[in-house]
Amino acid sequence: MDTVIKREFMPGVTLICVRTDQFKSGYFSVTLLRQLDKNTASKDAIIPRILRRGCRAYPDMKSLSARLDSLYGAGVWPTLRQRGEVLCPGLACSFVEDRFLPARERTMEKTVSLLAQILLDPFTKDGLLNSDYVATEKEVLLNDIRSVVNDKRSYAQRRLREIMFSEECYAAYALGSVETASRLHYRSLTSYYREMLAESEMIFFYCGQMEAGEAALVLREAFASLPRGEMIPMAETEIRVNSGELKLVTEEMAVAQGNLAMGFRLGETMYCPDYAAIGLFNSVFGGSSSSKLFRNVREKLGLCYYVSSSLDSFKGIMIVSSGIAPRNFEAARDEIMEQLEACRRGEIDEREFETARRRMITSFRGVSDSPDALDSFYLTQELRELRCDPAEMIGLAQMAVPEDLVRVAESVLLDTVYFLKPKEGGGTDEADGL
Amino acid sequence: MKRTVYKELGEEVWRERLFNGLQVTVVPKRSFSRAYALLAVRCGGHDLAFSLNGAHREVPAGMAHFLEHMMFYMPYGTASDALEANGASANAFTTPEITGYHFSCNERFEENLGILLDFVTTPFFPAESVEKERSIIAQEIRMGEDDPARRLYRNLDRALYENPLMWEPVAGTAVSIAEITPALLEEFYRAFYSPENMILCVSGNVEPEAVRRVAMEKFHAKSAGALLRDRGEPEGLLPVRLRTEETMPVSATMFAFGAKLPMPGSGREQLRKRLVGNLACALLAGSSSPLFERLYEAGLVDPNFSCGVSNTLSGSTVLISGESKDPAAVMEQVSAEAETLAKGGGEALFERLKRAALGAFVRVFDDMEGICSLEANEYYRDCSLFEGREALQAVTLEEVRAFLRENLVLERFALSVIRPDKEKGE
Repeated sequence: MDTVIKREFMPGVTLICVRTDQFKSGYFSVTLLRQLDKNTASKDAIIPRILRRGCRAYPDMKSLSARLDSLYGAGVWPTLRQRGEVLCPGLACSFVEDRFLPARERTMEKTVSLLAQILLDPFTKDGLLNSDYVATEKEVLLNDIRSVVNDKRSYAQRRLREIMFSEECYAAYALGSVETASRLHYRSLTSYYREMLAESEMIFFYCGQMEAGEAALVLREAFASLPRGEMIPMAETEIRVNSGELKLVTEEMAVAQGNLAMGFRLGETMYCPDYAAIGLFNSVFGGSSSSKLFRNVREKLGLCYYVSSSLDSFKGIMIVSSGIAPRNFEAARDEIMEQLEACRRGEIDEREFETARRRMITSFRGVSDSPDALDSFYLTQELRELRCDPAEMIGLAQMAVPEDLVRVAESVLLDTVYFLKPKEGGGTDEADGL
Repeated sequence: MKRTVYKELGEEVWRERLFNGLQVTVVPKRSFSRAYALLAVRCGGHDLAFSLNGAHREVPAGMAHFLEHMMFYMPYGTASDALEANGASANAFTTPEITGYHFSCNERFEENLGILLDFVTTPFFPAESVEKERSIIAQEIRMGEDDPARRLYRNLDRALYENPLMWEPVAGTAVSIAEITPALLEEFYRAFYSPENMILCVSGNVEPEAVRRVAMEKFHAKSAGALLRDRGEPEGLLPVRLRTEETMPVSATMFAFGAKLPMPGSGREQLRKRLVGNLACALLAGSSSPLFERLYEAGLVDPNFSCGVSNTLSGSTVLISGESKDPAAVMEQVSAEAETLAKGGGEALFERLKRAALGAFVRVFDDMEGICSLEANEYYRDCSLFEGREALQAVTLEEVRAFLRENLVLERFALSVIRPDKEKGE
């Protein structure tokens, strides 16, 4: 595996090429870096979806799908990722490499060119995005925004974020809100699309059998008409290290199980973040099935089926989430805080620490086993001030010591507790007593 | 071990039935950093009635899944901790027909494989651990009850099938798991966890001979004798009920409709029938079908609309699902389109879909987890994943039309709908 990174491959475009014969399919993605904002998130999210409906050469789903089918089931799809307060919409594609096909099909060139046409040369009428496509994609987007409620665990976390970050951009959902999505209109979206294309910084990521030089030639040709205007400054994430007064919110819904979400700020450790230590702390505390939370809240006390903590190291926050019977609310919350206290007291034994370290090393080594994981890894690195490759991240994990984790634990502050509980009479709490 | 090379795919498979009875299948991938191992036991949520050496036995729903939770307990602690401490990430799952235990790692693979084979063949069910798992599983069941997709499919199966096995949740219910005791777990374990009911599939950066060596040393399950699964009587193809509806706090109306299919049998024939079914579904309502485009543009379905064949060892169903403001209209249009396609047309689309299916087949081999779970599933159907390419090439449009003509008929369909509850629905 051979990685080449070319910054300013084109103005404001970084190209990352990973050459490898490891996979049967090649992969390419274009990612735009946008500032997460409640007023524009819906627009950023919907543009790739509208573009994917058709381009000038393949103006509808039928012709586009036929083209992809004939490329041996190649895929082009809209993407939307998030790193802190940087929203990353884009397009990605994958295709079977020529060496596994009956004839030399040039699947890479053809699929990448198709993706470029979808991005740069949409199907328009009088220079405007197709109003029917905008209308149907708007309905789909609205539906996606509303459907957060279908998964109660994500819903509880979404509500937690809205409450915890009520004064920050981070409160915005990546898809925007029902309110902003309802206002989308094909005319204003067309000008938004043109600006977005011209002024956003972009990352091109390729992983496949082609040498970086050859891939660069293919990409230059495919993206020759990429408009490059005046770049807006790099999108970034605001970090607040203090939490105000503890916020406690309980809401009711007709559900069988209660869902607890607790939001923490990582605090002063974010002044100079040691990402390896932060990741290791999360792993020891609640990030795995050998973590303190899993072993105590689930295995020792049997309070829940799932309990875990997850990080957003860009924003400097951690969210603990657990599905519990309502009568166990206090017990679960107290045990979660007690396990954080244990970390602060330095009660991290050799075995816990080494398990977390191994886990982290395994996961960085595993990055090279999938193009998706590589794409995601390099996107994260490009957005950090200090960039690392997987081997350097492994080096940092190897240098960490338990005291580094204790420092992270000492810095962590509880900000908000959110509990989604079954409606009185609606839940079936008594059945637990079995 | 016997080595088979699939040149066009650039893959090789090593297989052996060990003399301790365990089937071992290895697909080496030396350019990967990780290796993945799956021990798949042919024991699942549908195994609620069986006879062992002639004696009939019935167990409470959720048995196989409860056992999956309990297997991780070892006299030395829990096997998941041991694996994690060794750099492996481990987990397990239970389907209607299989319990799978798996891990992946990029160091100490042989040691980890030893831990896996050891814990799956060591029954150790202390009473207090059984009680604790019971409360954990009760929460897992609760979480499942709040999952609208699960409710949707379960309701559909209830409408389609007479056989209660088909809709019993894999994890059971709060009532059924209350009946599970350490003695019952032990008995169930003895009946099902015997070598002839297991396959070890490994893929990734490993040496096949090393896998074989560990499997010879660490695997110590014994055969319990003749096991017969009682999966109920074969039933007719018409649904029990045509329609079922429920309300839940969801954002939009969800639907699933489908029809029972004749059992596909085993071996290469069943693989071929499944491929015919899936190609028929793609032709009828896949993302490149004219019908999908029409439905999507009319706002009747969203991108999650899907159509495919779901297949367990006790029943096979053609399944169409998605979100829609008018599920009945979708169902009618699907059956009308099936009728049209059964008569003729669709030649060019069919050829393209076969090309796309071939591409999708090749791509499976980038995914170690996918290779192992698909191979385990085929193994229990006396077939192999690696036969897919040839089987796919042999499928004809005529067969696909026959599938549509025979199965996608309105009177064979049952429809399951979940509507938003009024209070919450905006």
